[in-house]
Amino acid sequence: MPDPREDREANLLVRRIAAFGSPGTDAGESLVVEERCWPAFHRILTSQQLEGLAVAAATAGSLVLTDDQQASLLDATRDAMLWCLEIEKNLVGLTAAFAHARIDFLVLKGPAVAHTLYPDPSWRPFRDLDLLVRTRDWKRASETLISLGYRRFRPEPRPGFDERFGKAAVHLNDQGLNIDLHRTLVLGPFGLWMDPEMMFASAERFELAGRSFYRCSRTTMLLNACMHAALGSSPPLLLPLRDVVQASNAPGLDWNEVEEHIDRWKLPAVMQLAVESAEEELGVTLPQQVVALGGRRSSRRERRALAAYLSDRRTRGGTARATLLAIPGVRAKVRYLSYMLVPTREFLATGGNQRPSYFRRWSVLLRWFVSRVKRHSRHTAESLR
Amino acid sequence: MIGIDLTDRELPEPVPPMTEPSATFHRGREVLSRMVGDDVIVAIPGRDDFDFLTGPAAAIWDMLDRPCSTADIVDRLASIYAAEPDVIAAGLADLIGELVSHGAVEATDAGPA
Repeated sequence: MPDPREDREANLLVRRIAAFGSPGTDAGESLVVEERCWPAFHRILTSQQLEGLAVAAATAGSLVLTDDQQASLLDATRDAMLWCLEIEKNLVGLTAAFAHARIDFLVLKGPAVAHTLYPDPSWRPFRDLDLLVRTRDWKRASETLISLGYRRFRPEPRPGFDERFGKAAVHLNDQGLNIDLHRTLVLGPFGLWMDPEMMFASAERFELAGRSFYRCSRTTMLLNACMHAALGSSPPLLLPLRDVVQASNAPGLDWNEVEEHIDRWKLPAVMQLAVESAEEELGVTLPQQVVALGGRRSSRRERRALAAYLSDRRTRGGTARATLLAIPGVRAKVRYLSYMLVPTREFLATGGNQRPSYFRRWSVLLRWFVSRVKRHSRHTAESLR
Repeated sequence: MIGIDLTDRELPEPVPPMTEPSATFHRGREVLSRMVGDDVIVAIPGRDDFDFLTGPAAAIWDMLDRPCSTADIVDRLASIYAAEPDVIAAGLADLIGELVSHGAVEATDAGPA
């Protein structure tokens, strides 16, 4: 059973590791992990994927470890790096099939971030591969992966959902390697408001294993880092926050272009959350330009959309409801609603441990509707008083 | 695990041509690698296994980031590890031979870097 006091202490140390070597920060005093805290430190560090940064800190003398601690950290890092290399080998293996099918793709996060934004790729481990393809290519890209031995983890709710409203689908191979095939960056309203085509238009190249791959431009890398940090999980994870720090400090960022994209993709509230969380959680100071962009006014609609990702409503249909509000046109809204409420039985059957049930899905909407009616009645009663 | 032993070695005869002092090598273009502390993991697309380089072998890998002659490598290792150049050259011959056979390292003269 984890001791909450040790967890708290370990958490503070892990946050310092997450900030190690951040541009514009001092090395500060060397960190020492007391033996009683080591299990909690190791557990939190590895769950937050910060082994590489811890090794870098230890190599620089900023983290002082006993021999046993060092051996344990190196073991964990070796495992993480072996997996990264396995993923990169698989990425290289995909290129011929995608080129043959004439499908362009961008490498999002993972190898693209590790090899572009960090001083050394070992600082930035990753567990899966995220590829972005154009919506028109999405289905063929999925078929290409399946022809290479991958299988789709979960079917789409109804035929046609992926290309109209979906974000991505996980494809797994026999080694357990997971490729998240995207057509937009995030699920929900922010994924619908952004324009993936702009990411293709501004894509840049990076080299890996003697081959050239496309990744996002530095501008869209920063936006993607902020979206992932702010919307990926609540509270934000430390590695995505560190990505925000690295992306904010990338040389040659065109701040006017960043601002333009933020407005166009309705991201002021997302930027604000990502920037404030990075500064607060990691104790770093971000460049003044990104702080200023994080302080811009956001609309009520954007703030409501963001709230759907943050509260416990997220797991109770909150993102789906926010998506519904962001979908333009009544017919498209009705179609989305029908996809969500009456998915195929095959989709329902992959929904976890619970018995497949349409009623359970409908009850989410029913509870939401009842709560709205109750709130409305309360407001009406108060205004009549 | 690939390493080189810098002590108590007998010199191999004859020295393979690939380790002539002027022979130059660099990391293979298609090779992937990661540092883990002082060690290096090397992966080659299309192969299932990994090479683990430790100690001087990892230091040599670092040097091979750019084309480097064996004479340069021997000099630099001799200053780091305070070992006899002949002993280093012998260990280097084995290591380079193994890395070349795995496709992790290429002779610079053999083709474009």
